[in-house]
Amino acid sequence: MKKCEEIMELISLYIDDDLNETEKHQFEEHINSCIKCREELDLQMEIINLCQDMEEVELPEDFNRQLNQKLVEEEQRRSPLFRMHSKYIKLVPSVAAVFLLIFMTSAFLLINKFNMSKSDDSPHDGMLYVRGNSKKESLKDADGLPNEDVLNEIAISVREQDEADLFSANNDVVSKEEGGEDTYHRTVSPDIYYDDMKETGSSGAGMTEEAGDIAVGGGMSSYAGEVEPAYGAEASYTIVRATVINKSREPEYMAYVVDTANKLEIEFIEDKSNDLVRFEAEINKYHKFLEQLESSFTNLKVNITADGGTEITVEILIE
Amino acid sequence: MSEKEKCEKQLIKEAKSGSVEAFEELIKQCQKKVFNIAYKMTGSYDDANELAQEAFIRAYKSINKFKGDSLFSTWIYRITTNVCLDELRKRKNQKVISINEDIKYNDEELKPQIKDESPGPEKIYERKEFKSLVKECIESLPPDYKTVIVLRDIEGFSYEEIAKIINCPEGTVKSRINRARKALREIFKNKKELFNEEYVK
Repeated sequence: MKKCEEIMELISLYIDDDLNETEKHQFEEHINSCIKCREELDLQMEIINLCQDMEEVELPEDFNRQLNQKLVEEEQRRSPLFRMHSKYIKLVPSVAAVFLLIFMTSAFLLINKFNMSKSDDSPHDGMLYVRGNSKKESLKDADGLPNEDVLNEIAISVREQDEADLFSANNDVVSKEEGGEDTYHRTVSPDIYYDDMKETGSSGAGMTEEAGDIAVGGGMSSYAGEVEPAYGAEASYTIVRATVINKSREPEYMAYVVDTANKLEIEFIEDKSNDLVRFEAEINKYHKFLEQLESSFTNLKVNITADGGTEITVEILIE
Repeated sequence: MSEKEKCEKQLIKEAKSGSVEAFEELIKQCQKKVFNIAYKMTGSYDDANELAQEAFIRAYKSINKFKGDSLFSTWIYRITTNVCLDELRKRKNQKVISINEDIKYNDEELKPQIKDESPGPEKIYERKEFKSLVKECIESLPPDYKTVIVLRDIEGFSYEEIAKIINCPEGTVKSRINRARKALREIFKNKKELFNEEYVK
C-alpha cells in the first residue's frame, strides 16, 4: 500500500491516464480506502471539469481585417531590404565603407573609453561583455537544439561601472539656439556590435574579441545621418541582430542593424519616446548576459521576447 | 503525404517568399485556438486580441525560421504562449493591477445567461460561480503553471503537444502539470471555502 504523499503525486497522472497497470491498481486501491486522498482526487476532477467547461470565445469581428493591415505593413516594410538584397553585389564598395565607418566609430569609442578609464584589461571597463562560442557547429546538439553544455560554458564577464560613467560619453549636448528652444542633440547609443570575424576591427574598444562575442558599451555615435540606409544581405550565421536607435531630435532617429560579421543591414527606425536597443539572439546563449545587463544597470529596461524558435528579441530601453 | 499536408507545405513556401494571402490561409485553422489561449492566459478579451495579433505578426516575421520540425500549428501555439508569457512577465515588472475585474466584466458580456433551469437554479448559479472562481484561481497562478493549465486542462493538448509547444521534455511537462494542478487545487480549496461560507449566509 502506497503512502498518501505518493498517491498525491500520482493524482495528475492518474487523471490523464498515464499510469501503468500496476501503479493504477495501487492508486485505485488506496483511493478506495482513503477518504482524504479520495477527496483530493474529487476536487481535482471538479477543477478540471470546470476548466474543460470554459467557453471558447469567438474572434472579434474585425480581427482579420486588423491583422491583414499589419501583415501588409510588415511586408511593405520588409521589401525595400529585399530589393537591396539583390543589389548586394553592387554594394560591396559601400559595405566596405560601412566597415570603415564602424572601425572609425570603434576607434572613437576607444578614445572615449580611454579618457574614462586607464584599464586596458579585457573586457574593458564599462563594457558588458559576453564571450560566445566561436564554433557554429558546437552550438547545436544532434537534434539541432542549442547545446546546453556549450551554453553553460559561456563566460560572462561584467564589469560594473557607475551608470553615469557608462553613458557619460553620450552626454546630452544641449545648445541654445538664438531665440529658440534648446536643441537637443543626444546620441546615447550603447553600441551593440556583434562580430563573427575578428578582422572587422571592432576591437578598438580595448577588447580582444572572438567570434560570437557580443559587447554592449557606451560610446558616442558619430554616424547618425552619415550612413546610407538599407544594405541588405542575407545572414549566413544569424546569432545576433543588433539594432541601436539613437534618441535625438536632430539629426534624425537612426537605427542600424549589424547582422553578421560581414553582412549588414541598416535601417532607420523612429522611436521618439525612448532610447532603444534591440537585438535578436539565440535564446539561451545570451540569456545570462541579459540578466546581468538587467541587474547591473537600473536605467535599462530590458524586455525579452521569444519568437518560439531558438531566437529571442531583446529590447533595451534606456530610461 | 496527405493533400492537406501538401497544401500546407505549399502555403508555407509561398508565405516564406512574402505572400500575406498564403500566410492568412495557413493560420485560418489555428486562429481561434490562438485567440483562446491568449484569452485564458491574460483573462482579458482586449489583451487577447492584441496578443493574438502580435503572435501572428511575429510568426509572419519569422516564418523563414520555421523548418517544419513540428506541425505549423504547434509552432504558432509556441509563439502564442511565448507572446503571452512575455506580456505576463512584463506586467509583473510593471505591477499592473489585477485584471480580475475585467474577467468578470467580460464574462457577463460574453456568456449568454443560462435560461434552462432544469438542474435547479441554485446548482447552475453555483456552477457558474465555481467556474469564475477557477478562472480567478488560474489568474493567480505563476506564468509557467498558468501556461500548462491552460494548455492541458482548458485547451486539452496532450503531454506530447505541450512538450513541443513549451519546448520542454515530456517529463518536465508532466511534473509541471502535476505541480500546477496541486497549486491550483490549494488556491481553489481556499476560495471555495470562503465562497461556501458566504453562500450559506
